[in-house]
Amino acid sequence: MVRGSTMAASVRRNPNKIKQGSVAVDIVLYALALFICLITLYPFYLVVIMSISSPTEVAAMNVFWYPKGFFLDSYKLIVSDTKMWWAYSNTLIYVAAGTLLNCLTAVLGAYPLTVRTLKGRKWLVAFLLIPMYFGGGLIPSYLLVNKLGLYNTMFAVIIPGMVSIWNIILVRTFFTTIPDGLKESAFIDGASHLQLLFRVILPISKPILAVIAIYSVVGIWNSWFDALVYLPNEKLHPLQMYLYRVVVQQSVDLKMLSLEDTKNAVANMLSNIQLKYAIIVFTTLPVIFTYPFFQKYFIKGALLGSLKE
Amino acid sequence: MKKWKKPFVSAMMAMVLIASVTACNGGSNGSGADSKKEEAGGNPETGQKTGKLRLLGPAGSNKYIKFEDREKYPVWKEVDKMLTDAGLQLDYELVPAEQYKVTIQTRMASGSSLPDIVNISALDNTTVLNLAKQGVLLDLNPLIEKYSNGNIKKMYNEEMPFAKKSTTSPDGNMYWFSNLHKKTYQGNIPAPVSLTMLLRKDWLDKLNLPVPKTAEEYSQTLKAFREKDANGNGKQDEVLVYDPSAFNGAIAQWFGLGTDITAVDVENKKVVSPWYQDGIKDYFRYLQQLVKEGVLDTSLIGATGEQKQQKMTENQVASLTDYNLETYQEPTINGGGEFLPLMPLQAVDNITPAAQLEPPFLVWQKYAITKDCKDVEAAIKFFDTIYSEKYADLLYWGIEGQTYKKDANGAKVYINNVSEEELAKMGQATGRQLFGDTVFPRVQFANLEFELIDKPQHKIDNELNILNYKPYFVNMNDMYLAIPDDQQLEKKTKILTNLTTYSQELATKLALGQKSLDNWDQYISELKKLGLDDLIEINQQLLDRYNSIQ
Repeated sequence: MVRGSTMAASVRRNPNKIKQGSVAVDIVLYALALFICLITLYPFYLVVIMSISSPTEVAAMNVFWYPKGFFLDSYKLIVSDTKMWWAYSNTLIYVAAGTLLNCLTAVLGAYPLTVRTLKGRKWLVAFLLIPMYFGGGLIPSYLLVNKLGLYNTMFAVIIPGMVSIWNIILVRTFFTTIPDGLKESAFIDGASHLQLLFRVILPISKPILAVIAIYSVVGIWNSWFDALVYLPNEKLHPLQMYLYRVVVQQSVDLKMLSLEDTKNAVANMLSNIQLKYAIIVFTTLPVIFTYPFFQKYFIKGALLGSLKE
Repeated sequence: MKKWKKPFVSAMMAMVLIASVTACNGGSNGSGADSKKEEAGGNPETGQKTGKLRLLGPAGSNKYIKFEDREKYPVWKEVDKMLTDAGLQLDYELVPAEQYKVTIQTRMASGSSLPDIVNISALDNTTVLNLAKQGVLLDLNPLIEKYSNGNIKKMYNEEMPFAKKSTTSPDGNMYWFSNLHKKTYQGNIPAPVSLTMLLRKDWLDKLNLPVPKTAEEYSQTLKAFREKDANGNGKQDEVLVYDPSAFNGAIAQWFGLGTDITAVDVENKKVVSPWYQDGIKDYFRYLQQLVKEGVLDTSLIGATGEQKQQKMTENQVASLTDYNLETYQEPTINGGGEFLPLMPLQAVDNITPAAQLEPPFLVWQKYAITKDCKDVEAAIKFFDTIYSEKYADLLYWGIEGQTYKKDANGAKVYINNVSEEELAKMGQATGRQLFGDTVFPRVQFANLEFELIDKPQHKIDNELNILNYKPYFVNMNDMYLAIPDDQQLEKKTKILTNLTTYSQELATKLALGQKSLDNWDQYISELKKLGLDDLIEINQQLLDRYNSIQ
């Protein structure tokens, strides 16, 4: 209040002071911002126009500003590909299950760390930080997943990724900002820890849950490496793995092939050049559409992450 | 807020339920990405006991002809019958090809729950030799002695005697089976194809230019293409696509140079390096001239396939290195075109120009039996089935009357010259397209006759002239080197890392004129310092061992 009134006073004293800088500077700044916007958006735009241009123009790299020729067969091909729909539904399952589990483990993991009476709390936090910075490596992780019987099942992707220490720390930080009075009054009313967590704390923690959920959704939607390692069965592949395969498939080293194999590889490469772009559009659109709606939470998430005491 | 909450939560729950159910399904599928279960028990007709095998390999990458649709192909029914007759019951695990390398690396490194037979082509030599040393891969020789019905030996010793040379390890053991390929002409003449400089024939005709007979004329022709605007777009943009960093562009061979930092001179049984060969300086002078005249497109040095394809599509490529019998470039040119393969051109007075050939005998890919194989007898039976003439026929040619016929001279030629999409619809694929390179090795008795059938006369002429052309170098030098032992491999790997980089940079800079030929001795001493002589020595040892294996 005090700050506000002094500012108001200063504005009243000198009405011109609120005008910062000149118009010229504004124009330059706007131009700069516009330029940055353009170079950020251009790659997206390019992919979109490539995906609807005719394949020969795309192969000749002639498409820069607007689509040349009009060609939707790539989309037809994708839509009629049952494998793509398998991958789509798999991704939905991974995203839904992964997000839910991530939120659950983050909340359940974070709450005890905020309870002051928990002995060795600091040690626990320190212990949690270790796996955040050091991993076991690919082969040990593979062995673990294999011995647990998860290899080549959907769980191989869902379970190892369901706990995120980073998320636990984020949630813990948020929980510590909740006034102690609220918790104490719940206890006085006879609530247990679980009741306190689910009836009192969670309802006021929606912002942080939204942040974690979005991070998880985007993270899982874009992930493919776990699938590459743990899921040899293509029926279990997520969408990004499908995309990865199309992109990798075309970058064959032609020099390593004999005459007969070269024929096929060249044919494959040509038909894939344009198809690639259509698939990128198709796999990215859903996530792009969610961005505007959740943008404010992204910013919140970035701020929350800035404090980790 | 509350309105959407309930449906949302229930939707989430439903998803999780679906997830767990589907995941369980994935689990019960076991390791079988594509498994086939049959009733257990013996084969009633032959009275043999059934041998069960689990096989792991990459799935084919053909878009139309897919292994999972195999039941609709007559050729598969034949192969399946052969396998059943041999008393084999196979469980295939085929992993998408793009994913296979990671899968096989992790699974072999972990060494647990391995299949019986595995395609290990994606692993590098060091890893494979280590696995053999650890006993993860079985030595095949004693198993062949004990269980084989003689097919394997017949194929390896009589039909394809070169196969043993490439697959015998330094310790004398054999750890993997391979794809075997032999291409002949008129029954028994070995038929290599060549990699050569292709030149736009339609441009020569259009501008009324003769086919160049020497390297100098070749360069004049390329210049004329530019000056006379051969593609007619008003710009001087007709270019030569050529990568000077390696020596595997066919121009290098005109100067008598080998095809790589070290190359095998097959006829003289010698390992050579282009850096030490007579024509090397003249070669770089020639490239410098091409660069100076703007003929050689320097922007495409080290470019990706896509970038080169762009030039091709835009009708700007006047010349490039490719197979003499290729027919896949022309359809990609906007407005069409035709390439003429050139014979090796005389470049220097006292050097006979060499050809670059793809060997007529090829050995590649690795299929091994692992330590976890319980029924090695069945595994050998599987390979006995593979290395039979009947299988080889089904694999490469398919079924007589359906996918191939015999021409007047008795040479096999394909019947259906249609796209793979059509073949898939007709169910008329050959075994190679349907299951080659997966867990099924390719055994190929190819011939030149079918290659020549639908080719234009100028390509056929070139191929027939090149058949007996000497001297020549090969595009796949490793095909003539025996498997190195630990020390040789380690030393080679160490040398190659730095030597390759230096050699490529040096060659590129010399070609571009950024480095002077006057400092030649300095470059050679640097190459020696990086181990060029050692590399030649090791490869000579490997070539000698290759030639000594009987």
